Amino acid sequence: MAVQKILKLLCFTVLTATLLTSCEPVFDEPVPVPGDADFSRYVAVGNSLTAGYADNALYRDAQLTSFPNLLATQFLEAGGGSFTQPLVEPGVGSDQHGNARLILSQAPDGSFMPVPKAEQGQDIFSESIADQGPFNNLGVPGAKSYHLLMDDYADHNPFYGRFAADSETSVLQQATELDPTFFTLWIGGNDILGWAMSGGTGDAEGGMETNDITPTDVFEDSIETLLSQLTANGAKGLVLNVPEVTRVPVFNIIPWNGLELTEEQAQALIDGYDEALPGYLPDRESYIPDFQEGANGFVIEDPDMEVFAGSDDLKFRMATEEDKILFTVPLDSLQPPPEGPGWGTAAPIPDEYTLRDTQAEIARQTTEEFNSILSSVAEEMDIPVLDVPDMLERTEAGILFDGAVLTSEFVSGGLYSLDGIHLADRGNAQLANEIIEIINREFGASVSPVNVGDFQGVRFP
Amino acid sequence: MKKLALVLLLLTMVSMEARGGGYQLNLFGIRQIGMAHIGTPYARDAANLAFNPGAAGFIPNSGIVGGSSFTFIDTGYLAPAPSTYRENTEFGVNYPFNFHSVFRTDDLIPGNWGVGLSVYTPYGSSVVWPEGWKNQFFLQEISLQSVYIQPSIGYQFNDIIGVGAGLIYGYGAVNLQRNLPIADQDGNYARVELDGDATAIGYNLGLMIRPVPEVTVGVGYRSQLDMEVEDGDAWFSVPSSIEGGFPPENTFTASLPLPWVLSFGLSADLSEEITIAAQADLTGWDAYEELHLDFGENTEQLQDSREPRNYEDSWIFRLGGEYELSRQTQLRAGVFYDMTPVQDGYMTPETPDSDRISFTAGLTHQLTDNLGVNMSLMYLRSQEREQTEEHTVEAGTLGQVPVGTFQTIAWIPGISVEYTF
Repeated sequence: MAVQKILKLLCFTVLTATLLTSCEPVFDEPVPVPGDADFSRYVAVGNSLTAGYADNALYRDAQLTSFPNLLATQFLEAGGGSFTQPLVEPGVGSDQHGNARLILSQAPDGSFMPVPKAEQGQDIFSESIADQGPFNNLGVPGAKSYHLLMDDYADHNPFYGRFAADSETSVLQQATELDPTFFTLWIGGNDILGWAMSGGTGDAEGGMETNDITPTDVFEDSIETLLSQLTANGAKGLVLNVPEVTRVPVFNIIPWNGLELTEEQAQALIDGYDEALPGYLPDRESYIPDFQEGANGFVIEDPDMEVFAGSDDLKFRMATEEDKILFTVPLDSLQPPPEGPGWGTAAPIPDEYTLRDTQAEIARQTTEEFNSILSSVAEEMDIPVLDVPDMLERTEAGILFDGAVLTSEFVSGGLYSLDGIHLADRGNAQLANEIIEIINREFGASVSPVNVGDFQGVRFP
Repeated sequence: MKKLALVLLLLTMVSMEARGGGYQLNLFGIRQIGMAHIGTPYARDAANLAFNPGAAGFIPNSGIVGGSSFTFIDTGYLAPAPSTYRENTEFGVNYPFNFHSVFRTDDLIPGNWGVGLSVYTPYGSSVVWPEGWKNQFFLQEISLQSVYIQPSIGYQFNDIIGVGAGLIYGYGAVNLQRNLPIADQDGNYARVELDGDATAIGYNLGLMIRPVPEVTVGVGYRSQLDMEVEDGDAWFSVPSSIEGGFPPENTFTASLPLPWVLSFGLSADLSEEITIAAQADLTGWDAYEELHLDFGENTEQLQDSREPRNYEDSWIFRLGGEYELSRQTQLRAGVFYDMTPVQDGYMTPETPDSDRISFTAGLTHQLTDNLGVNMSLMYLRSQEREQTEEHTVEAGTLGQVPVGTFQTIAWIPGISVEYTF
């Protein structure tokens, strides 16, 4: 290095003085500016996607790569201030039931499965970290739109309880108390996802339980309140709308027609059903699933079917392309007896593990409805919206970054973490860049994007 | 004073290069480097045989000369706006050496013959980007080396015209390392390292004409050598669970052309003390169409790759001069302009190339009647060049080459020792 220093010294003293040329590559580097925005006090409001929840747990490493934290880091060059997150201690993290985060594991046959990293999750709930606040990242796993307005929400959701100032302060109130100059709001996913993850067993017409779809008027009022209060002091911000939940991996990992049968197996199943069905049943043949050699739809429960009076146990059929099997279905349950109950073949997969064609359509329509509400409320207040379904669609086709491709493919794609819902580090990085692009365009800012390649997708054993 | 002024003018004018466009090195001989690496129309020492074997008969004495350059090359990268990301290559010095000898055979065989042997490094490149830099999936580091061993023979018909030819035995070696966007449990990316070498045969032809004693014209041609790497090592360091898709100890076959060069120029003695020279080189870069990596074992995940390069033939223009300060000491200076063979949309981190300008200076000092020392210094600067996404779309290389701005600056001192007899 000494030689290099001498050369540089020689260069600067002799060359630059006499020849007006440079000694090392010099670039006209862009200078980040905030434009019309002001990043000095940035607050992120939302659910698990804002919190940096991933791999089915809240854990520190994932919190550190939450898209709001990545954004805040990039904002630093453009007048951004400090950004405090309610971090858990380093470890395997925890979901609401105390399970550790998932990691990828390889079975002896070479196949990959997500498995918990430890038998037990980390205790992240028993001690409040409120005194480490105030917090700029107010993403609360599990939160629906109206939850953010509830004064006593800390008593209902331990993910909020662990860092809420007290039991009488809503998430929104904590946000406004920070007097934000800039915000992101990403809420509404759970307003549909809770229902979809219950296999559509909750109330689709609108209800306030975990498994219900949020009533439209409640959703609309919540969004109006959230945005009007967040912008009350003149803060600028950005809204992310609702992903179309049926597109995320958790509904698509298990293919509807994942049942591979030989000719003998198909015939055996047909014979089995034939034997089990009561002889008196009219139109008896129509209840026997049409098992064929090759790929078959799983047999699923369908409570909406019309069957012979008093024979509710006949409400089953073979899945079609529009039906979704949830990844939450216990995998050994799909094994034929004696290894498992033989769901999908000898017995139908229970309704709570499927999102049937009509239900998937309800989820899609509700998403559109909620997103049009988000758009119109945001437009009224002049707040730009990041269209998440559009981003997911582009990711399905593949987004190029730094010599590699980001896709929505489960495990290998890089967008999703191992729970098949939340983003992996790399997905958060791409999302941060999409947000930065909008901020730069809409507010005349010049915020430097992150290098997506610095962030990993799912890690392999 | 007038003469000195001319030399200074030459010094401060643009003179060029030590490192050629693409992965060409302009470092054949230290004396020649001092004056813009002009050697084709110039016959002073054995190194001229590498440029133009036709010079063999014109070189005044038998002699051997050997030495090395020391390359300090710094390439910078700036990501596309509004990104503030920038990076520089790691510091490293390389030692492209050269050795040349020429023997006048006047006493042994009738006629004016000269024979010689040259060992030099016409092509090479060494680029090491910091670990995990933005374009790590394109390239982490590359080392490309070549050594040409060239016996030559030249015949001088009379005082005016001489011809010569050389046979080239070329050796080439390449080591290329990239990260793969797959991480292990600790977050470390997988890596592929390709390592291989090859040999090839080529030739060199030259013609030198001295119509009047003060003027020398030269033409040289060096053929293309295709370095075919057969069964090079392809090491894949990947998480163990996916080793089936990326066999850890694979092999690869690839071909890299070391292109032909046609060179011609003129040198003129303006006075007893001052010589000026100009030379143009055309390099047959057209030959480098693609980097085709053919892996010994293919899997679903690991397919052969074809990365387009589409280089184009390119020119280098050189201007240089020599001033004899005394019988013992000569000073040189030069400038050259080296046009890039790399088209928009094909710029890669292993050769982030653009047009280059170079200024050179050098001196020779005779320690005794037989023993002299040559020194040279080359400063080289490539134009700042931006490759945009539009460029890559137009070239059809979107996602296969990085976007952003590159610039290279190099300092290349060199020294050689010369013994004449």
